[in-house]
Amino acid sequence: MIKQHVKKLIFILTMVIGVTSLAQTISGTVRDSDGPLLGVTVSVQGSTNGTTTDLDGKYELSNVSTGDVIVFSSVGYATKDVVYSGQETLDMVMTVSVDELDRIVVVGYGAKKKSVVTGAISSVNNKEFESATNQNVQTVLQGRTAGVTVVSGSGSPGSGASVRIRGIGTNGNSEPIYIVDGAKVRDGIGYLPPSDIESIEVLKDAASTAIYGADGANGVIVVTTKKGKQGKPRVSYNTQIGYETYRGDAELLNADQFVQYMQEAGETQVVDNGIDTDWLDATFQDAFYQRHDLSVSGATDKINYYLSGGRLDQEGLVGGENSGYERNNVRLNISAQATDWLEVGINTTYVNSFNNTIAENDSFRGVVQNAIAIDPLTPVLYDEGAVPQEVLDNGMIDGDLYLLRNDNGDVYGYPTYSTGEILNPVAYADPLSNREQRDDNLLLTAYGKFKLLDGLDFTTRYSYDRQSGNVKQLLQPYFVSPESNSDAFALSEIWFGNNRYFWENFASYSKTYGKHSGQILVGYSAERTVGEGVNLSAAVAPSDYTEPFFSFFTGDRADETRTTTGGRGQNSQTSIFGRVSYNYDEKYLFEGTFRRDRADIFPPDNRAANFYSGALGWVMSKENFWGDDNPINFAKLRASFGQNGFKGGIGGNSDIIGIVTNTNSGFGISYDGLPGISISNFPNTNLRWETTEQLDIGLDLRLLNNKLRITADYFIKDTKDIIIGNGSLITPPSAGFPFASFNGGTIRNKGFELELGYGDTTDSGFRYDFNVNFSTIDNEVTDIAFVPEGTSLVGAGAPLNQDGVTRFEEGQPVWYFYGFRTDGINPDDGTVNFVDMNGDGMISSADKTRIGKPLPDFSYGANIALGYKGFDFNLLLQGTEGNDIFETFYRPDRPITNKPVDFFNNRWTGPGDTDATLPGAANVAQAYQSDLVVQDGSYMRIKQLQLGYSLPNDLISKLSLNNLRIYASMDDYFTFTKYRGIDPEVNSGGNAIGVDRGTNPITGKIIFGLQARF
Amino acid sequence: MKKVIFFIFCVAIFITACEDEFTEQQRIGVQPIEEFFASEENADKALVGLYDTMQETYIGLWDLGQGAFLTRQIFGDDMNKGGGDAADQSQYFDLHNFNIDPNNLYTTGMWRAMYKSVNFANFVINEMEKTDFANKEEVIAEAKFIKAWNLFELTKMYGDIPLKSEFTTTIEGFSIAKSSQAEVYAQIEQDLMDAIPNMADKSNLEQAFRFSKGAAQALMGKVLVYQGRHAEALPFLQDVINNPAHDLEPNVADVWNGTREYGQESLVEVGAVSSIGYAWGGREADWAGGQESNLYIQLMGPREGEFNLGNTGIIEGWGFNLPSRKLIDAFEAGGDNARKSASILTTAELQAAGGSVGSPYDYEGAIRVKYAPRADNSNPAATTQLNYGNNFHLMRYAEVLFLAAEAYIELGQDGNARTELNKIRTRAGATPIAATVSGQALFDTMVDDKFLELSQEGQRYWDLVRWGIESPELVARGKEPRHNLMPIPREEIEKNDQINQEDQNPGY
Repeated sequence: MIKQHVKKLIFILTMVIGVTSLAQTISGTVRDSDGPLLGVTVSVQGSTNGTTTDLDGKYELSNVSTGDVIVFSSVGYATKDVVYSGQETLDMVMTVSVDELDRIVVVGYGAKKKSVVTGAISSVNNKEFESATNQNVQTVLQGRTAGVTVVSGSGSPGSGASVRIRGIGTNGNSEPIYIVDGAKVRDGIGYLPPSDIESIEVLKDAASTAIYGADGANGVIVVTTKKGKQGKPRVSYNTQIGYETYRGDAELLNADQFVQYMQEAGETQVVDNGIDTDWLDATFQDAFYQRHDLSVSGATDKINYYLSGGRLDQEGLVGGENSGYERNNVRLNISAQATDWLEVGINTTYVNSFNNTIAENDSFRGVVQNAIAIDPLTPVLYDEGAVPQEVLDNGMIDGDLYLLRNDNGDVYGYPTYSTGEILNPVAYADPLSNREQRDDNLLLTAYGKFKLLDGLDFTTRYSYDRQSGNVKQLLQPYFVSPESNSDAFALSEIWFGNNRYFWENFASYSKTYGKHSGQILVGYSAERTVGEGVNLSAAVAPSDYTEPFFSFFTGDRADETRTTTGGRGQNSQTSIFGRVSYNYDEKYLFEGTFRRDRADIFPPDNRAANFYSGALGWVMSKENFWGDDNPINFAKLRASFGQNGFKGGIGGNSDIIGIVTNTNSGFGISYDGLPGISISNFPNTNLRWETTEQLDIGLDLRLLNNKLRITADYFIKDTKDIIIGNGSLITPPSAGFPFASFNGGTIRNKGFELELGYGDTTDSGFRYDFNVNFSTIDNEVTDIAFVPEGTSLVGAGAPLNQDGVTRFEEGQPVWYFYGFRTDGINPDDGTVNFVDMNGDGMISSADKTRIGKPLPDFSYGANIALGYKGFDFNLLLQGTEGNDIFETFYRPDRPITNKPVDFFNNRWTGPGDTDATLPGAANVAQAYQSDLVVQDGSYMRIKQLQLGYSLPNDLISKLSLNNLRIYASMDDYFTFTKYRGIDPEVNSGGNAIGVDRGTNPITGKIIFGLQARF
Repeated sequence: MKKVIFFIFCVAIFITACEDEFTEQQRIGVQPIEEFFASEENADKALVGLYDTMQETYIGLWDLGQGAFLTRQIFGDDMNKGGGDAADQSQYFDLHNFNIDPNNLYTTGMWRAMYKSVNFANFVINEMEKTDFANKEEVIAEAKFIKAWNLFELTKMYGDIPLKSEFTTTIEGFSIAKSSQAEVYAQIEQDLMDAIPNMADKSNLEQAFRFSKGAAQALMGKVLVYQGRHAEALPFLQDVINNPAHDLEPNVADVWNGTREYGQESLVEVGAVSSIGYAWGGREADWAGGQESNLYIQLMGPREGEFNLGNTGIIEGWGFNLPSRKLIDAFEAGGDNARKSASILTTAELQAAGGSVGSPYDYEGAIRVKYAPRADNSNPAATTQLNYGNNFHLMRYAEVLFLAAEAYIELGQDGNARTELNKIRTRAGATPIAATVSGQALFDTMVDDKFLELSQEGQRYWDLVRWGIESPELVARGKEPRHNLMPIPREEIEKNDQINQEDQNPGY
């Protein structure tokens, strides 16, 4: 405010002095980081004197006097003003406005100025993530906005992440829906390259999402892809090259410790053999990464185009190319103002990817789980001639020797002591990981926008989303143990195709009358999803195997066994929706929406449902009493209430007894070779929509001359009639068959969200921008149906644990951790002291209780961006606090297995040991169903630490470049956590949130990048 | 403006017209039950599906707690648990040592699987009643037999149980209280009496795997013997014995070696096939319950890496279900004969066959030959371990002879009893029972001989419970009187409104 006063003063002074000073002409070039900008308004503040830039970003403004304030403004950019000091040329670099009040925010079926938005919407702009190494939309959001929790399920290349907006409201799929350029896309848009994305808006409250009705209960993420900009065509090239490493500090027992531990456990056959393998070290190998993006874009007043292509090539930390990911993408966005009443356009992208995957997230058979479990007395590779005779004997299969070998022909170590499913993880990730997935994704949106009358538009939009591909897997004969072997070549192939088509028609009418401004939107949409697939498998005896890579479709041998399964599904939905918006002088804001959905996935009587919302806003700072000298430049109070629906987690047909011809694993029901049938489930004719009701109260503030931005929200979200897909959770086993999906209760999420931003450029040219976000979540199951009081639904399992490790129960957080509570270690014998919860004098499964919760108390993110001249620096961090992790990578049934070194360091060592926090070696299995394996999962991760340098203009113009920036970045390189497992970012999804079965960790990345604009 | 209004009007008409139609089409892959049961061929498929539930119950995989063939014998004094070590499938270890938590995977899974058969049988009966197919009565009769079989297994092991006599579909209908064992027996007898007249004779079965009239008569006899109604039981058992379609296999080894499946000795047999071609890394096995091969052959084979099996023809498995020392002693006391060599193989015999023994867990001097893995029972073109096609006998002619003998003894007809028992002993290659053996001594001989003949087939423990005979070996393992019944699964108590903790069997 003070600065403005100063400016006013200067202005008055110059007016006085100006009488005597000569009016001059000034010229220059206006550009952004990509190149010259067309159409930027350059004007003298407080006068009508102004002009706009041309195709080359050039302008010329006459009648300027020393002391005038020259203002550069353009929609989407931060407005810049400069006090004229008599120079002849004045160039300006515009920066994109991230969170300015006049920024246009994309909302459902339209766009709105940020200052008049009544909902809780967070925005993320391309500039914030273009030099990040995140390869999908989900991870781009991590740490950047309040109320959005992103957990990577795995650090494997090509793997997605789960996004939770405002907690977990449902028992089914809690993922938000994604709208890409208006198209509602299938679950998971991990294939969409972030480089093509212009902006992402996260719609959090019901007022914003209600227009998406039945799909919006988990929030909506609106993705807008890039367009051309008027001016000269722009060519842009981005590349990143780097490598990834394991940065965690999990530690397992070494050989000495392991031998001692096993001796104490009574496994006296385990003796030191001179080998000491660090399996984490051996399993996690540095991986190479590179990415290239090229785009050409431009626009005239009639045509706008954006054409891009990209390639990503990423090795896996585990298994290198065996868990690698390769993605090739092209995009063409084009729109044309065909006539003055018709705009047509098409946005289309094709992405082709190859993703090799290895087994993970499995308590029995996963590479990382095996790396934790295998004894350190096993060598990674046998020395020449040192392959044990037993391994050679067992390797004789069908008269030939089959051993696990690396590419050089060296034989991998077979577990010296560990038994059962446990394999050498390096071998597991090499000759035993021969699995390749190919995906072809096509996403196409075509639209026509008709201007029927002034203010009245009609849009018809058709989108088609297709994913098809196949998964091929070949397993060689081998023998490691009775539980881990194959005596044939086993091949499987899955071919699949999933389509969604989506047709929307909507009309909007906008009218401004004096200070009254209003808009009405009505629309209709229809969508159909079809999924189909076929699963083929064959086993070929070694003696019959000839081809180097056997395909199911080649060869026609009678002696091999083949099986084929398949399936097809289709769902349809129609929707009618409408919205009324009104504001008076951008001061009093109102919005109301209505939507009616009808989906054939529900029983006939319950197919349709109506959803409403209303929102009010009051821009207090526009009131007269506020005063121009109020240090708060802008203040808006928002309140909204609304409903959404959800239909996830059900397969349809819940209302009938289905005749099924396959078992749950997809194979035909047969007996003695004859085909048979069974029934699917008992019918639930009352299944209805899950409904979310959400109250949101928010406050938007701008202080300190608009430099400090504050957005705060408080919400209460009740999800009623949650759909639980697994009806067996409430069916007594004596019913024989499960009940269908059912509406099982109510979940309440409430929380507080805060986003703070402060940024400016000092007079010396130093730029800074700080952004902090903070969110709390309080999650509770408030009502549960069908099961008797005090009982709970069983969730995720763990090895030899019938009770499950997660439970769903009234009065508790969703899928809390379930097991024995402990009270130290018995100093006499080293056993675990379990707490007798029900006081019946004995310890049984009935004593299990809540021992942890998977969701954090709060999560946070922060971004610091600094710049000076050509240099820029960025730091992004993100973390969670108060969440627990249930470790289920232990094997109670396989005693000779390794574990985190904590189990050695803090074990009971003998009678009288009162310091032990973990049981004696002989009783370690007692820990596995108790709070001794529930760990604090809080962490703070530095997502990015980046230093960049943009070459000076005079240098790059000689190279015919508009911009050239080079940078070095450390992504996910530093993590602070007390968790003893491999990585604290654990997500097994569904009912297994926070359950760690052993997944590939998030990798630390060192990246060198280059951005060039021509 | 008019154009605009007309345009909107058209859109509105279109929307209202197609909203319903678009979402009212027949859903893919759905066939209404009535439509399905309009065809006799489909009724046959339903019957096959019902037999398949029996397969699921007895040889479905252990992950779901199925595999009642092993579970119902894990308590017996004829076997040791075996496997890699105590922790290997530790819940079998728990059962074997009478550490039976109501939440035990196998007792829960067995309960669930048997009730699946009962409920599916009710469903099939319900739908078939509405038809007028030629095979209507026969299908209903077989469904009633399968229902009776499973109810008998359930009440034998769990005592008083919820009696599912009709097909119910509502969530409220699932919760029913326990019925007394007497009521359950009454229902079983009713179902069997309904079934017997309409079931086909063994000589006239449409498919070999289907259950015959003889099976139903044998079960009726067994149910009556279990209730101590020996005089009523005898006519049913005699009908089976006197029927020329039923007899002992002349060669005792053929009972278990896979060569005479569904043969003359077979009454109730659960089938498996080797033709699927399961393979590691491919279609491994059906952990969801639809396993078609018999993976228990592999599970119960001599532990890999612990044996050299010489020229016995037996191949390795995962080591479960070893003969107990008590069983080995009993066989050795009976002398070498065809039945012994078809049942167990001692260390000495193995060594004589060029084999050797390492230090397998739970091994007490012999491996089991009965149902041992042999390559020719699997699929030569696929993974041997995963493709054994061996069937399991659940009830065979020899058992009928024992039941008849027991009834004769109880009725004081020792001569008739000796006749039936000697048929078994003669076939076994053992000496016949002397005519001087009678009364309690004859009963004891019957008990001892049944121990050998039906060893490791799941009969022993339940006979001991029924006869009130205390086995010192079982007491040593922790058996108490409360273990005469299995606990009602905790899951049933939690989800069934009509059963609560007070209804749990005593001591659990």
